[in-house]
Amino acid sequence: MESLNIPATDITPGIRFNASTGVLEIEGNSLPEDVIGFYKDIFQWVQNYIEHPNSTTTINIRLNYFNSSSSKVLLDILSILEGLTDQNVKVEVNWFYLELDDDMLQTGKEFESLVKIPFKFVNYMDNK
Amino acid sequence: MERKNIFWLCVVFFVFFNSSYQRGFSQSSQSISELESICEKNEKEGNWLELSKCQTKIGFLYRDQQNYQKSIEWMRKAIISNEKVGNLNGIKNLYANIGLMYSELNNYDEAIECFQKSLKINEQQNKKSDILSDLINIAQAQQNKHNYQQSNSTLERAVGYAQEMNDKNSLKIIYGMFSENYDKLGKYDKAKEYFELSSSLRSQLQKEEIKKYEEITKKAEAEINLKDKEKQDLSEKLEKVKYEKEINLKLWQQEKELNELKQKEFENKERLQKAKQRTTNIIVALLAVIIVIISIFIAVVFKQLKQIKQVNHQLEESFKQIAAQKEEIEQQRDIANNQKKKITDSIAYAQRIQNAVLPPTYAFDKILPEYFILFKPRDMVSGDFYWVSSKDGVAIVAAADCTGHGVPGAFMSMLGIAFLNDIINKMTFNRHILTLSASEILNQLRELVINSLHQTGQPYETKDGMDIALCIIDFENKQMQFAGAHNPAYVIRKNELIILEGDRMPIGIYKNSTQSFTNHEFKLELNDQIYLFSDGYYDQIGGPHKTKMLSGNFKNFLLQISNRPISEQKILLEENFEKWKGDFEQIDDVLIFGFKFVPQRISTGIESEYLWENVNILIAEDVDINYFLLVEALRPTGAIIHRAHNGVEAVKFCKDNSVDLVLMDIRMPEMDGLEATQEIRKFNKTLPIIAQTAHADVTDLVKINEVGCNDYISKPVNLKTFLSVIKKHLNK
Repeated sequence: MESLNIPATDITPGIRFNASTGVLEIEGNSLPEDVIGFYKDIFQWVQNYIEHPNSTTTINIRLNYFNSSSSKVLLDILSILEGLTDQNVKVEVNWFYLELDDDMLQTGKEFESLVKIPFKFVNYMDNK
Repeated sequence: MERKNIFWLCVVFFVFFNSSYQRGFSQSSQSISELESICEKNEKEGNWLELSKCQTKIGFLYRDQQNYQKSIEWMRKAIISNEKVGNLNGIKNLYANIGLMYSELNNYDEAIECFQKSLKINEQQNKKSDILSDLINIAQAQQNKHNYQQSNSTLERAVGYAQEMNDKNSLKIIYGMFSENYDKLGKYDKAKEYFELSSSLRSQLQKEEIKKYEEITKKAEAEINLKDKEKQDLSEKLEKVKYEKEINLKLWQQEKELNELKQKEFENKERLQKAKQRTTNIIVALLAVIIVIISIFIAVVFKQLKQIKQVNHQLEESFKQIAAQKEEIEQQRDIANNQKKKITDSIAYAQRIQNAVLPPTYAFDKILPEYFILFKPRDMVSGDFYWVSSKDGVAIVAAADCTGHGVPGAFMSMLGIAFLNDIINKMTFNRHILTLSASEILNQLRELVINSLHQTGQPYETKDGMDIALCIIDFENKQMQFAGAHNPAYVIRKNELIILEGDRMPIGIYKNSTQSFTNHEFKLELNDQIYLFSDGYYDQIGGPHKTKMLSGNFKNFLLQISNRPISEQKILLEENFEKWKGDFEQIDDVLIFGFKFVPQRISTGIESEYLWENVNILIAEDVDINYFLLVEALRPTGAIIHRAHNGVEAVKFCKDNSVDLVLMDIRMPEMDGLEATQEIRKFNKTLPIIAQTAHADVTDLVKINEVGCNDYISKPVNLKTFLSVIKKHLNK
């Protein structure tokens, strides 16, 4: 299965989904005008991935901003990956939030309460 | 040179093997003429064997004189005689000898024929050594004839016999001949290989010869010692042997040198051939490349010549097509522009509707003496909305953020406003305002949203909804209730920020949609400043590193500006936002609603100026959305609304009922507004009739006036103008 790599833009996140290592990374901003259009391929990839998952799957979410429609889509993606826990796949989410960005931490906590995947919260400094 | 050598070696060889038979003739001392008479005698007597012997002798005598023609003649006669007595040995030897002489005479064809006859007999008798001699002689003759291939195949046969008999001498000769043949055939590597075989055999033979001589020498020396008498002879013999040995040694050395020279020659030849080959290869390759290039060139030229015609034709076609396409594109562009204009116009209209539905400023003016609303939709219409209502000294204010922005967000916001109005109306109906609870309003709002969007909580279904912060302010008791869906309320009191957190769940379907929202009760103090907002402000990406502003910075900024007059705060917030945003696009709708709690009893908004309870207003309007908009606009006034769907209904209603004012749409089915007004004027001259029209021009206005309308309003309505126009005519 091929990896999925989509470079980041100002309004869409960078996607690095690697099937062979089981590391799925999303980072940047997510506020595309057509959310479904942007995430369609990503959905497809995730659907394929759960057919042949890696024995450990790590989802690294390092988002600066996402709009409410992206939030829905993210939750849907996590819901699909949640199914892996039934296949004895070790799944975890690393939720990165910028130092001081309590809103992002709160959002992460809310996501954590909505899916059955263990979350780790990682505070990071902006390197820019 | 070499060939001649080998030839004579063959002769010697042959002679050696047939010595016993030949000796009898060659050593004869009789003259030819004597022998001829003996022959005649034997012939007469029919003594064939003797005749043949005699004839053979004559043949050999001639041969010794090198008179080969005569020799052959006599030997052939001897063969005939031998045939009569069946002396096969004699016949084959004669043939072999004749063959040799033919070879000497360069008549190789005859020679081969004779050798083959000899061979045939030898084969019958299975005399291997003789077969071998014959084969070698044949091969030699073939070589002389330049039939190298044939010679080689004969030699192949000879090799077998020589090896079988371990006849090294013959092998040496055969290899030598192979080498010659291959040399002539240009196969220098093979020639070299056989030459080496031949040379090694030769040196081996010579070594053996030398050894043999050495042995003889030893023997002789021993004999010298043993037999003194014979010493003289033997010492001579010794001298002779020594001499021969020396000659052989010299010969051997010469051979060796010769071999080396020969070998060098072969190597040179080989090198030359390889070089030639290489040169040939390069030339062939070059030629091939040149031919390919020329072919391609010709092909290209031909193709282009062909194409130029085609292209010219195609160009004409293309020009035609391009012209057609250009026209089509221009048409499409016009269509697109038209559509864009239509859509933009449509959204502009929607914007006016949304503005009309959002609470007018006077509604706030009456309720909140000091407030500001920073409202910056990302697009023309907004997914954020603010809302206000009041009753009996209590104000209800809310700031909400619907899923999405733009048109979809605006749809949600319209729903939200309508639902909030509905909820408050129902709650306050027959109940005291003080029973209102902020959390209960949100609970009901959530239920209405879920039901109206038919949300059931299935995965992948729409999770649209809204976040909201809602406050109920009781001015008399200085009490505030707050409930929030995701959104908080900030209260700034004496440079200190108090945060009332909202619940972390939305208005909309959620995993726990039955859980009630939390109702916060908060004791207000004078000059408390309360802020409700959506996340659009502090989520804006910008600044030096294109990051979010973050709520922390927003809080700090609010604290910084909190002691400035409330109207100034709006300007400062807006400046701050623009500065942060810079060139980055606005990512979401922005709404901040701020107000100060000041000691002023609040009146219930609209009532004093636009309170028209028990006033009957007829709205003649066929389009539902326009009708509901007007109803919504008139709702706070308490007026009693009636509806007519067309002119006929309007006229009938005015005839049958008491009506205080008519809002008459001009364009309606069955009977339009102008005609209906004329009809009404026939029986009621004083009833205020206000025309409502979109895109009214002067002629329309003249007509409206002519038929008896009192006034007109433009659609979409501006709420404030709309109410003031109605007020003007009601008061008359």
